[in-house]
Amino acid sequence: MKPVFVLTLICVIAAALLAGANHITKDPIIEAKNRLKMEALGEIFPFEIKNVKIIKDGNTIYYEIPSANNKLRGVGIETFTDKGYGGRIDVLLGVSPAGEIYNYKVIFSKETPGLGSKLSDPEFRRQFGGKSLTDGFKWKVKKDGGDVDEITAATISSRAIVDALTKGLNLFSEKYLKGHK
Amino acid sequence: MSALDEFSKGIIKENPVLRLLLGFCPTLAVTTTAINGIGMGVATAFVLLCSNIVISIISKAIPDKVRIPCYIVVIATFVTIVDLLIKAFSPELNKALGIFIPLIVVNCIILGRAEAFASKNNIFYSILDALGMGAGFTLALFILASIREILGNGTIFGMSVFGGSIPPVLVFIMPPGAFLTLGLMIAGVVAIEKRMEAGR
Amino acid sequence: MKEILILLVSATFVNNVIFARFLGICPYIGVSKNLKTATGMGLGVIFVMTLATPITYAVDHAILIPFNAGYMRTAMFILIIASLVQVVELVVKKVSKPLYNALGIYLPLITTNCAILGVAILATQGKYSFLMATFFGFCSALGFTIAIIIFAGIRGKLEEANIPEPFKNVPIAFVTAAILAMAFMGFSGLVK
Repeated sequence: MKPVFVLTLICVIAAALLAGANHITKDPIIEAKNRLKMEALGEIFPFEIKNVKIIKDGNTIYYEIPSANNKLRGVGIETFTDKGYGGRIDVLLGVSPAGEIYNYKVIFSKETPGLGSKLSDPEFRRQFGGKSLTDGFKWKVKKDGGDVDEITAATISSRAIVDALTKGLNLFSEKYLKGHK
Repeated sequence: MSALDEFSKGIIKENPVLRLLLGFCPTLAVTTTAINGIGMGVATAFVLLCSNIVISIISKAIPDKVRIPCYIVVIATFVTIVDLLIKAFSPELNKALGIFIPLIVVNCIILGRAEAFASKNNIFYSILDALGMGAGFTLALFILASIREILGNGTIFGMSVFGGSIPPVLVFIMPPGAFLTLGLMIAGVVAIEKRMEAGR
Repeated sequence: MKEILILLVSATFVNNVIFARFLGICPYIGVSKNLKTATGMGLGVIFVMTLATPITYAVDHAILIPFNAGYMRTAMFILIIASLVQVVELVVKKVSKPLYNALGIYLPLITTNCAILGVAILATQGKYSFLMATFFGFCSALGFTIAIIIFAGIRGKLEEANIPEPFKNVPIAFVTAAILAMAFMGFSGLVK
């Protein structure tokens, strides 16, 4: 009987300690998560990120960034693709209220180190600046007849990022541009 | 053994990774950058210290039959606390270390020291043992991670080493590089030991 | 059907627990000196992992998530695994003496095999259904067993080779693992 009693006692004490620790760290953890998100948004948009409104619509999260007079200045969209060489790639896409890309940040990927990481290169990302779904930009890699300059020897990763970006742009236009394409 | 010996043995002579050959999983997985290596080392050392202290205090009161489960509960508690603290105060480190933070609970070093040392020694020596082993573990991780970061990424602590002129040898950042570098380090330590013994 | 095939290839080869995820290295190095012990450990891992994954998944979905007790996951999972191993050991001892002789001694070692806990946690993170999660656990264990058997075969041959002193035993094992890891990297891109 004693062994079981001792083990149970230790479990109870442990559970209490953990519940306490969880309680103390709950808020800091949420704050920390938000801080990372805000920092990422700050990297994408050229203006100050303040008073962001976070909207969850189905499986997608939107970050609405207001300007000084409370008009919509930019929207961050969490988008993704499963077509990466290593599988899923999570991307945070930043667009203007008119649906033009400011920039994006790769949040998660398992692409080939050294090659897939070029998806984050400023030189690669630059070509998407200002592009939208409606300005005639052909959203395919050059190899497939489009306008996107793919990364040498990383065609699959390049195709995947195009997939993620167009997904994000479509989500944005359906929600904010009322389905007009 | 003197107090100083109890502490220092964990750093070199009985280094948990390079001599006792324990704790390989996190050693290989998180040493892609020097910062990650140090972060994991410190987190593990903290858990080791807390668990060594608690186990050294309560070991006499624990019936032998439930010894291991009790130790596991104690260790799991401290691992969860460290996990929560890292999530709250360094989400970057949390992202980098990922699943290996909760896996500290099965790091053979911690249960190993609890069984082999903390359960049989007083608090003072258990603390020294934990600090020494923790420091040794962190040191091994730091050296391995630095080699991998410098050769595989061209940086150390995120700062460029070769100024971008020499392209990095990517394999070191990837699994084969991890196995290879650790293997060479262990072989190196054995070679040094043999030379020292021959010289005696 | 396609989903099952993709999971099989991905969990066993592409994201191999040893060569891609770095889980289960300690027993991998420690028990792979000959084919017999390696097979025993591999079978033990398949047994425990395939049983542990659905149980931890169920506890996670039935208790931890509804009660917002995610912070208890590590402690609960390791306790479940430790208890499961005890139970499995008792049952195998009673039910089949030859099976117990084959893998019984490895069972306690499997508790601290980070692969079991690691895969259990991964199964809850991967947005799998209950059945897919169990299959994920099984495939991961399969990958471990394939890796450790190949490894044991090579190490057996290495015993007869002329190896420099400092490299004997563990270091040369790591160098071998490095080469195997490189080979397994060839599997990535297989799932398209």
